[in-house]
Amino acid sequence: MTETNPRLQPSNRQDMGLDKLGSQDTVLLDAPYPSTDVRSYTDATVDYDHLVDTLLRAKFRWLLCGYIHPALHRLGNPFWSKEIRFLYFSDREERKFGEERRIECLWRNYSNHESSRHHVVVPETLRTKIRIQDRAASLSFPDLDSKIDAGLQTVARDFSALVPYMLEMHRRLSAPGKRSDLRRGAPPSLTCTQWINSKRSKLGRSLRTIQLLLRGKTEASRGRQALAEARGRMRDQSDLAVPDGPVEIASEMAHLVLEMRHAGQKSGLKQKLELLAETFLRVTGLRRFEVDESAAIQSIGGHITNIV
Amino acid sequence: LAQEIVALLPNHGRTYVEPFVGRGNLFWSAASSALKNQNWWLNDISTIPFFHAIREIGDVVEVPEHNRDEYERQRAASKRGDTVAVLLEPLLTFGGGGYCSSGFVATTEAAPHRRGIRKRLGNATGS
Repeated sequence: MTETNPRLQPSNRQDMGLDKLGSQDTVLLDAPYPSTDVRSYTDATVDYDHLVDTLLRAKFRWLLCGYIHPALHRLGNPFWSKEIRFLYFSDREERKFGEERRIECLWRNYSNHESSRHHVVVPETLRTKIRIQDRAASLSFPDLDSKIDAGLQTVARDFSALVPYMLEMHRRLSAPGKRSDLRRGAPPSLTCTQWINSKRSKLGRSLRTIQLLLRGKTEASRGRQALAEARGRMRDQSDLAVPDGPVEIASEMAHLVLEMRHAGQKSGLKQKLELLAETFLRVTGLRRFEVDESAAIQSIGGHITNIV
Repeated sequence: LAQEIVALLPNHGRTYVEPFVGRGNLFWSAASSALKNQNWWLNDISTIPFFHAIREIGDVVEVPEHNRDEYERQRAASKRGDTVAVLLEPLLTFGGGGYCSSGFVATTEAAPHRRGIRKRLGNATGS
């Protein structure tokens, strides 16, 4: 610090006046990389298009650190690369770090003989990535749109193929206590909801979307749907008038219970009783809070359909 | 990695510029390398006070006991422009992110950062 005695400036890059630099000056740019969350800057505070414009017309020598990304495509292929472990804030609120492997790349606008090292290292995997990015960049809007459409169809098709496995996993993790054999090998307290959440990043779909995909396919879901349909039919029937007051409802329920003793459970009285019971609890405000997957889906079904 | 990158820079020149210097990972390597530049120019929208603090205080700083109270005290001092508090910022905050961004970090996580910064400060100032 003492030897270099640097000039210190707290400016935005755009305000630095880099255009005044010449061929004997060297600019080393280690900007926050696109789509990452770092502290001093975020990628939202760096205008990459403007940065690339500046570099492409620069009279000064520059070296830029980054990753293969469409924002840097106009700079051409990197001259150097190396696989590194990349640390990032995976959860800003919880202050957790995430780690992933990335290929650090360097671009520059001066020749090899000006630096002490002359090797160029670009592995095949990176070349493939560059080729794909080059192809994407060369497509017209309609072609790019079609390409993405085709890709999305592939994803949708593949996901449909996954549904039977998802259903099997749901069956295993939702199995009642007696069927402990189905849970063999699974963590003891793991629920289906927890499992879906643990796969969320890989599945690329939210819990509710997964639930919607499985809606009507699981045993429990079918049971709930049948019950909901029966309730709907009963509401349309004029012979069942649900009273408004809790005492009247309780009285009606008592009559039904006694009636069931003689008529048996297959008479449809059970469904009437369930409807009255639900109404009673709702009227009295005694309904316990419960998280019901299908109920959540039904309540926002229309919205979810739009998302999917 | 910083040393590898610096080795790819031109060996000599008029001005060395870093528009996004951050805490100076690349600059410390460049400054301690064989690069010959007449002028050095560091820029960063948020971390320049850190370099002013190094320039003012040097490479010796007494690291206080690491606890929440001390953190809050240094944070308040930093807001008032206290250079020691500014210099301690990467040591006391989570991931070196800063008082305003990442916040307090538990002692066990702070230790590696503390060693790293100390070493870095030592290299940079040639002590």
